[in-house]
Amino acid sequence: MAEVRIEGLTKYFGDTCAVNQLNLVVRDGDLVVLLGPSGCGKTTTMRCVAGLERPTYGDIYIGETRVNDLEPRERDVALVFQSYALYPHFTAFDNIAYPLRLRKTPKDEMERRVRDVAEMLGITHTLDRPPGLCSGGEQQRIALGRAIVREPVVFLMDEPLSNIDALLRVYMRAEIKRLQHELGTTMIYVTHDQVEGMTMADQIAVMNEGTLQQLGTPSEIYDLPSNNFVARFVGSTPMNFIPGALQKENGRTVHKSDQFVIPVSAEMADRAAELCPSGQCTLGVRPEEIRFTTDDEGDNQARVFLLEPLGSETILDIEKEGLLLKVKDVASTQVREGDTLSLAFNRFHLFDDNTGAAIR
Amino acid sequence: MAQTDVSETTTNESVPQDVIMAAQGRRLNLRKLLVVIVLYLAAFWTLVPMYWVAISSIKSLRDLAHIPPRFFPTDPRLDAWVTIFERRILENVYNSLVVSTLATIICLIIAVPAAYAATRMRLPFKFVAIVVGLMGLVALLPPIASAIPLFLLGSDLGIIDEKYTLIILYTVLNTAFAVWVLRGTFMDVPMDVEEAALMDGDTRFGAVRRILLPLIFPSLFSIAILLFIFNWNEYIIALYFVNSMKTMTLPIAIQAQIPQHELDWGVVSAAGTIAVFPVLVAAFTLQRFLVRGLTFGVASGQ
Repeated sequence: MAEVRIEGLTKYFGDTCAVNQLNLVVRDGDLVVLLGPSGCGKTTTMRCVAGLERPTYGDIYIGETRVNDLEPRERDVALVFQSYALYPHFTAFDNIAYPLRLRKTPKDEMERRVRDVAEMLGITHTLDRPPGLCSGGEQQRIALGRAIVREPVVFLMDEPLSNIDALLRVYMRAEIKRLQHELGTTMIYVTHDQVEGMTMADQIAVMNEGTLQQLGTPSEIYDLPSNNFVARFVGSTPMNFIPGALQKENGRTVHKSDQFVIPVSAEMADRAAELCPSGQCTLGVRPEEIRFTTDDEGDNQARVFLLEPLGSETILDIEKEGLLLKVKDVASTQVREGDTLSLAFNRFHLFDDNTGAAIR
Repeated sequence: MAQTDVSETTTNESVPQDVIMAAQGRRLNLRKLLVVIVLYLAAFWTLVPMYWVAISSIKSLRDLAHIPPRFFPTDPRLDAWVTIFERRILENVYNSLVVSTLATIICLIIAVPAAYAATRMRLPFKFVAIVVGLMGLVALLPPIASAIPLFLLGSDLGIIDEKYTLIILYTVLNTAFAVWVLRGTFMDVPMDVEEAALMDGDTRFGAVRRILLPLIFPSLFSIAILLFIFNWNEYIIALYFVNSMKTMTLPIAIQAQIPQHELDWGVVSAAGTIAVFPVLVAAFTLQRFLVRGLTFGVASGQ
């Protein structure tokens, strides 16, 4: 069990910069998800921690030890690969026992630990089989078992759930989180699936193009995105973006776009004047933060052109002058396609058009 | 596949399903039959010469000279076999075995690490191609073109007519080929599996020995057999470097059965039969391993 500290990590492959000046502290016992689109450097970061890649610049500490120059085997870190990377010529038992064999664990202790882990993961019945004869879910658990059995100080997971079907994924997601809680071992979990990130993480580190965009708890990431990339990337129905500019109207500040005029609080207006003097900024609002009424009295009116019923809720696709908004209707009001609604924006974010950063 | 075919045909109500399936079955069988016929023809084509050499070794002189040629000996005899054993052919077999086996093993000992480095060390492809290309240059030249300079070099060094010279030469000539084939084999094993071994606490050498090599063993064995056959059959280099019975390999020994005055085809055929025998054994083993290698890949699920 240990803290993982990444300081100024930079990794080049030839001329390509995969990770740029990354600083990240993973607290002891935390589950941190590295989240980002493919090619954002999350896997490279993890491989640097694992010791499979050497940082170009920067330092990595596990506990108090600087591990830059240590071989993977000297780091006491376990990695679960996206492909599971099981040894096809061994049985499941030998796969799980392999790390213990290398550590010259006595035979009876090894036997006991492998069986314990297999029981914990519910794969005792597969132990005599080669992985090729196990189902995808079982292979996944064998790979987990191989990581768990040696009780490493840090777990690394490289998109471990991306190769199994959707239903099992939802189940395994909770399973891995439960295991991590039970074992209390620090875990770095790499994924491009924001739902996985949101549901599992103690802390999420959102990455894009090799740089860290934001580090925070899932609710911080969701409610207070630090820039428009994070805002766009997180959320299963994506955030709505309305390009426009801040203006003074009748003594108060509004966000004015081609479609809407949205009043901005005095507090936010002050911050915006300070941080974004040009006033050019995009307003971002989550689908569930748009309230609507069916009367046609209000300021911001728009027409519903499509309903997307999801069972527990309905997504209303709303259009006004070329701008599309998605609005979540949780109260299942009787809105029909073609209706005109008046919109009110509860909570929203402003993003500076020049930097993309949130104004707050 | 069959599943989707069926579901498509069930919607087509004008044609009964069993008729369609029967038609498909017939077409499949016809194709299978054609394949089988072609394979039998190919087998016949390759086996007849071997059969011919084998029966020629037990034919009488009359049968050997008979026109039209006789497919079955009328008066089988073992004279030719007695003769070649009297001429100590077993010593030649021994020489061939020693040279071929050792050259194969040494070649693999060099080629396996070389191919591993070429695939796993992130060397630029161009660099690998140039290095292996240079190594392969000697092998790509017509053997006779390299044989003469090699002979001159060998006689300067005073190592003509030594078994170890043949072993060194065969190793050198085959290494580039072996590296190239092994490179492909190594690339088929996902990097992940080896990295998993490193993460599990193994050294790189350990990961290669415990994980990579067992995984590619069928391919490794196939390559070894191929190399062995190359070495076993090698003639031109041996022709230059063999001067005495001490080093004489089988191909040279067969050639030596053809004397200046009278040619006894029976003796030559008997020697030829002996030379073919290990190749046949190797080919059968190879075939079993190739089949195993294929299913092994499927089972691994990678």
